[in-house]
Amino acid sequence: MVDAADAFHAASAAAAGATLERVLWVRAPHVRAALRSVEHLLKARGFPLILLDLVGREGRDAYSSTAWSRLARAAAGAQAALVLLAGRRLAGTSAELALEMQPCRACFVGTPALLEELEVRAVLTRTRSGLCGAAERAASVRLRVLGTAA
Amino acid sequence: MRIACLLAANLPLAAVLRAQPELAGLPLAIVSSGGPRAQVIAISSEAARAGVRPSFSVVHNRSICPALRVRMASPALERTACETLLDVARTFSPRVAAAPRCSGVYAAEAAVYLDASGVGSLFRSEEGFAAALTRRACSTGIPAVASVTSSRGVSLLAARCIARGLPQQVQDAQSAAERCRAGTVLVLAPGEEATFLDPLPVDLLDPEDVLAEALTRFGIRRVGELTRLPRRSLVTRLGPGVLRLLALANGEKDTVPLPHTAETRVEEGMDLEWPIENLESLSFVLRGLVARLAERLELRGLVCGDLDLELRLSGGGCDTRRVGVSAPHGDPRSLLGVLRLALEHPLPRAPVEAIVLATEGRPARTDQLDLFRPAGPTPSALGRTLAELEALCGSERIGTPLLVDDPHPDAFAQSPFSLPCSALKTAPRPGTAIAALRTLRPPLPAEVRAPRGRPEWIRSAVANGPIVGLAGPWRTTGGWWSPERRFAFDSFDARTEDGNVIRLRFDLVQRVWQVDAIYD
Repeated sequence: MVDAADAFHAASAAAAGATLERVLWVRAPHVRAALRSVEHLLKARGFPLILLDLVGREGRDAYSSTAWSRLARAAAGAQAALVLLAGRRLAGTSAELALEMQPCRACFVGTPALLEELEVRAVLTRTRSGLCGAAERAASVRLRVLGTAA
Repeated sequence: MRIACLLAANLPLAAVLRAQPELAGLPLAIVSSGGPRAQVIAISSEAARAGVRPSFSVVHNRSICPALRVRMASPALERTACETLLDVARTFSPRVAAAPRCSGVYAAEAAVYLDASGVGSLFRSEEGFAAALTRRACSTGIPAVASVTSSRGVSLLAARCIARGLPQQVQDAQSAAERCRAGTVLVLAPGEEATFLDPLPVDLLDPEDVLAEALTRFGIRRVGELTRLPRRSLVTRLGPGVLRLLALANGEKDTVPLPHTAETRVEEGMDLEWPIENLESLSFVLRGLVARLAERLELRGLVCGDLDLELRLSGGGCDTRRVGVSAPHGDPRSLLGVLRLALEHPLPRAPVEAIVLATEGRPARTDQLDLFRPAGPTPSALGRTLAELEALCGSERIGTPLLVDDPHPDAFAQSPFSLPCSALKTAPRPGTAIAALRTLRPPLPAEVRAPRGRPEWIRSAVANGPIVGLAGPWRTTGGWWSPERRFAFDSFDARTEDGNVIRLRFDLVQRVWQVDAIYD
């Protein structure tokens, strides 16, 4: 987890099923350090999944177009999945697949009310593997909220 | 028992060339101190061919050879060169000991003894063993010669002979000359030592000045002449100091075995020619130190742990820093990166005059593959990668996330990352996915309207507008025993009209509203 946003919440990740002892959390101080960290992790091999969290760091000047193609090639060579989280599309045509998560509703149930469930809509905005039909382009996902509030 | 002696005849020169390999092949003189009247204590072969002599002054030598490079002898470099010789010896035998440094004519030499018993089964012959020993020493930048005999004293004398050239009388003795390969090794079988020692000059025994003068006065010039004299008469006329020479000359066996040591601390140091102020020059010096440190660790079969950096400053001060290495490894480039990062903040407060870099060597981590465990990075690659990440982000920002037992909602912790030993305990859960929380560090301030005690409208950087769904409050307090650590929050889960679902809290101590997380 290369966390340029410094937003990783260990408790909710563990509740969601992540095995924390298998997670390397890199709290990158800025975007350049985050991209370099991803390069180092891909070069090391042995990390089959790398999450790069740039939410809130999508400033226009921070990225060059070659950075993403270089990272995509490195990920392919390392046989690793590189997942980029951001508030807007950044990787352009270098991305194998792009999903836009749109919030739909939040379910507050009970008395007193508790936030129990979130529903988001996942829209496929890009796929390199080929065109897919309109019905396959979007899906609703229900996310259960566990008791992680303080 | 068989004892080998690994001898570096010109340690001051070898130590400087090891630290500054760019001077190899150039006429070079090592002096004892600064200034034009400094005494030359060692010269390179190129300088000797150009006519430079240790008995001449620096100014005179420079007039003979204008291209002469002059460097001051460095005790720190010599010490580390001696330790490197010990490290080389330890790769061949577990029982090693450094010979005491001599004074006078042999002050520039450094020798190490090794227990060479039984090496014939590994190296085919003792000559092969000695040749491998010298090759390994040369590969570390220290030219050395090696000898194998039955005692420490004779092996030292034999090594001195090789370093200074076998006397003609010894060369005439065919067997000894045959066993001297390429002028770097000499092996004496048991029983041949007396024959070998007989024609050697008595100066090789390194007598004290007074004793040497007395031996000259009595006309004793060869070792054989000394050993043929009655012992009691020699002691009466020359004093008890001659007993040491007799023990050496007779090749008396050692009764004390060599020690078996297993040191893990490795240190490299360097005295600088002039004080260094800027980080780039300091990095250049550190690069060489790190490379030599890694090389010596590799000789011991170890990798680098945490680094202890000591900078001696102008004006007598000292700056010591401990640089953590999250995963032990031996990659010099990564080690240099973490050292640079440690030196940047803060910079040394004064110019640096000397540097000492030390580490406690750790065994290289091995990893046994598991068919039922996902493949991970190799331990050496992981160590290097973690060091590079630390150099980029800082050591406090790299690690495994921990679940902390702390009621404060902003609390988090990391532990040093290491390859997990166990297989995955749980399979991925089928069914409904779980929503993750995105923490905001630091929490964002928010403007909230709560006319009836419950938030109804919010303006912040992440969520704005009327609040259409709300759960809470949940009160969390703690740290009541300390004014600095005391906290109290009323937390809410809120959904705003723009679709964002956030965790909102009211800080009861600071009396402000904050957004501390987003449901993603």
